[in-house]
Amino acid sequence: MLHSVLAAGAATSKDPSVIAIVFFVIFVAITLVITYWASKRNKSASQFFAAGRSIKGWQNGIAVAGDYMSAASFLGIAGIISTQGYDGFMYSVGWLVAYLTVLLIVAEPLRNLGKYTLADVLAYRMHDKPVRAVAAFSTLTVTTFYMIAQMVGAGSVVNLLLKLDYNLAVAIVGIVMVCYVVFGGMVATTWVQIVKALLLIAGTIVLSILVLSQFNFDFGKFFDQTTKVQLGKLTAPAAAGATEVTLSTGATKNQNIQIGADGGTYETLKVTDVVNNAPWVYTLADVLNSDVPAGATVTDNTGAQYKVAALAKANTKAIRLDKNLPVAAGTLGLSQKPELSINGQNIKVISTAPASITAKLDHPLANAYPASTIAGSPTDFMKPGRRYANTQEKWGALDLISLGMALILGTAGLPHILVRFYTVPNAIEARKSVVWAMIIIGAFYIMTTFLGFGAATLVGPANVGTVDANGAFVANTNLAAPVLADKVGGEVFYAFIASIAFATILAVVAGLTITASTTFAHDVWYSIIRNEQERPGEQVLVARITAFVVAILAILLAIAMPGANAAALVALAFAVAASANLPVILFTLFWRRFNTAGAVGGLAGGLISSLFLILISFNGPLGANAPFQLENPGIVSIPAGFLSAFVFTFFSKETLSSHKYPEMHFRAETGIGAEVGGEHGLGAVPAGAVAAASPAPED
Amino acid sequence: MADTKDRAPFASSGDDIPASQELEKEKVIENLEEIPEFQQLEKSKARFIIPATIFFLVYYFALPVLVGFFPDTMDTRLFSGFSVAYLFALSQFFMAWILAFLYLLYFAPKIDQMVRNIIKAVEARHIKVSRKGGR
Repeated sequence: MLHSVLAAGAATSKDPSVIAIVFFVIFVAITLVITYWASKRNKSASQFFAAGRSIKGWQNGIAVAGDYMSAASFLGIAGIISTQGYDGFMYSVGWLVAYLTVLLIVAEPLRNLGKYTLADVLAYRMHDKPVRAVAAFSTLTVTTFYMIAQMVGAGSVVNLLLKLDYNLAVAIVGIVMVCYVVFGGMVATTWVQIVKALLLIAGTIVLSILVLSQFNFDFGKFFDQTTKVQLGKLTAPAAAGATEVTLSTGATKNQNIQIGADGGTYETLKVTDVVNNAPWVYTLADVLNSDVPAGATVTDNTGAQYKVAALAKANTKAIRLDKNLPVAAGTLGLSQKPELSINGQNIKVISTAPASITAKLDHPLANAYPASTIAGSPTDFMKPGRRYANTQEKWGALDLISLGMALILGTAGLPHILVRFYTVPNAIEARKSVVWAMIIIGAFYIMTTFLGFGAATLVGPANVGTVDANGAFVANTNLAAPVLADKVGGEVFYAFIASIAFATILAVVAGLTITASTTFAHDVWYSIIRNEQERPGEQVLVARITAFVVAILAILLAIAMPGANAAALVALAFAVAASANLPVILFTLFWRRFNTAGAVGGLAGGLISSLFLILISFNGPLGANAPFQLENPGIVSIPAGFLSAFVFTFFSKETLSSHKYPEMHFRAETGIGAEVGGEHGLGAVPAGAVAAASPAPED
Repeated sequence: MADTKDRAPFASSGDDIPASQELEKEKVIENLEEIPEFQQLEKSKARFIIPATIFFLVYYFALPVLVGFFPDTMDTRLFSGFSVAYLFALSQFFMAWILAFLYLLYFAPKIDQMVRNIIKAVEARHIKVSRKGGR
C-alpha cells in the first residue's frame, strides 16, 4: 500500500506510477484512435468548430460533464473537504446548482442565436466589430487563466503521481492536446471528453464504494467518524508500552488525544506534558523568490541567526528553521511582525509552529503504531463554518457568498462550456444535454462527500501528500483522492485513479484550446480582419495554427510559473466569466434598450473590476498586506459588471441594437432561423421555411 | 455603421436584403413579435422561468448565508454526525434535479408545442404579408 510506500520513500513508490503510466498510455492511445477517426470527417468549418452540430443531446451532456469536471473538481474538492471538512462541500453544491442558470436562461437562446462562439450572440444585434473584439478578449482571458491553472495542476500533480518530470508532464499534456484539436477538431474533443467523463465517474463510484465498505456500508458509522477526525499523525513509530509520542500537530496539557487504526478504533490517552520540537515551520507573508537550500543561514531584524533545516522551494510561503523566534509572531500586528532576511529578500513572518511535538502520556500505549498513524485530538469535520463562518474569519461569510455568486453566475459565462451547445442539432437537444450533464455532474459532486470525508477519516488530513526525493513528507491537498485510493484499493487502483487525474486535465485542456482557437479564427480573423469574406478552408486553417500557438504558449507559461496558485486562477476565471460575460449575455437576450456601448462597457467593466480586485487581494502579488481581504471578488465585481453594462448603455444613442431586438428575440425564443444541425429538429427550422416571414420582393 | 452588415431576418448570413427594403423588413419583424401565439409563448415562459429562477437563487443563497452567519444553528445533528447543514447542502442537489426535470419533462414540451403553433402562424401570415408586399 502506498501508505507504507510513502513512508518507505521514493524507491519503492516507482511501481504504482509505472502502472499508472501504462493506464495513461492506453487512454492516450484510445483517444488518438478517436482523433484519427474524427480527422477523416473534418472537412467543413461546421465540422471542425461544432462537430457538424450532429452530437446527440445525451452525448453532449456527458461531454459537458467531461469539459466541466476539471482537476479542480476531482482533486481539488476532495482535498479541500479532507483538510477543511464540511465547508469544502460548498464548492460541490455551487458547481451543480450553477447549471440551473445554464438550463433555464442561457443554453437554448444561445443555441438559437449563435454559430460558433459566445460573441456570435452579442454580435447578432450589435455593431459587429467592437463587440466581437472585446468579447473575444474576454473569452481569451477566461480561457487563459483556466488553462494555466490546468497546466500547472497537470505538471505538479502528474509530477507527484506518475513521477514524471514537471516540464515533461506539461509538454506531454500540451502535445497530446494539440493533436486532438488540430487533427480531430470538435468531434475528437467531444469524444475525448465523453471517454474521460465516463472513466472519471466509474473511478469515483468504485472509490466511494470502497470507502463505504470500510464502514461496513453503515452511513451512521461513516457520519459518526466524520465528527472525530484526527488532524495530526505520529511523526515517528511508537512502541507498545511507550509513555510519550511525537505528533505532527499541537496538543495541550490535560487534553485527550486519540491514536488510531483504521475504521474508527482508537486508543484514548491524556496528555500530561508537551515539548515542542525543532525544526520550526515559519509561515511567511510572501513567497520566496528562489530556492533556499538546507543549511543556509537566515537573519531576523534583531540580528539573530537561524539555520535552514530543509530545502525551501521558490514560490512557496513556508520555510523550516532550527529554532523559534524570540517573540511569538502571531501576537503582533502585521507592521510590527518580525522580518527575516532570506537570500537577500526581506519577508515578514506571519506565524511559527513546531514541526512536531512530544506529548507525555498519562498511561503507557497498549499497542504499537507505525509512523504516520492518525493521531491527535478529535475534530468535528461535519461542523459547518470551520473555514468560512464569521466566527472563524472576519469576512468569512461574505467570502462564502462571494464564492457562491462566482460559481452560480460564472458557469453560464464560461466560453468553453457554452460553445458545447453549438455541437447539438437544435435547442431541444441543447436543453436535454444540460439535464444529462446535471445528472452526471450532480452524482459526481455528491460522491465528493465520500472522497473528501473518506480521506479525512481513513487517511487523515496530515497524511494527504507525498514524499519528495529526500524521503521527506510534503503536504499536498490535491492528492487526497489518489492517496485514499491507495489506502482502500491498493496500488493498482491508485494507479488507475492517478491516470484518471491526468486524463481529466487533458480533456479539459483540449476543450479550452478549441474554444480559444475558434474564438480567434471566427471572431478575430474571419469577422474582424477578413470582414466576413470567407475564403474556403481559411477559418479552419487559422484555428489549427492558433491551436498550435495556444499549446506552445500554455506550455511556456506553465513552465515559467510552476508555483502559480491554481485555485486562485480558476476562481479568477469564474469571477471574470460571471462579471464580464454573464451580465452582457443577459442584457443582450432580455433588455431591448441594451446596445453596443453597453456591451463593450459591461465586458470591459466586469473584466477590469475582477482582474483589479484579484490583483489587490491576498492571492495577488501584495500577499497578506493586500487591501482587498476577500478570496473571491465576485460579490463586488459581478454587480460592477452589471452596473457598467447598464450605465454605458445610456452613453450611446445608437438604435441598431434596439431595432434588431425583435428579430433576435423571436429567433432566440423559437429557434426559427437558427443554425441547422445534422438532424432537423423543431428547435432549428431551416431558413427556407422562414423566408416566408420576409416580405415578397416588389414587382 | 459601416462595420455592420444587415442580415436578412432569418436566413443564414449571405442572403442580403437590399437596403431599400430595410424599412419594410423592420415592420414585418415588429409584426412577428406581435403574433398572438408568440406573445402567449412569452407569457407562459415568463410565468415558469422567472419564479423558478427566483426560487433556486433564494434556495441556493440561503445555504452560504446560513452557514456563514448562523453556523451553530445549522450544526444541529439529526443522526450520528449527519447535520442540518449537510442535509440542506444535499437537498440542493435534489432541488436542482427536480427543477431541471420539471422543466424538461413538464414545462418544455408545452413550450415546444407553442413554438410549432408559431411556425404555423408564421406560415399562414406569409400569405398575408406577401399579398401586401406584392400589391
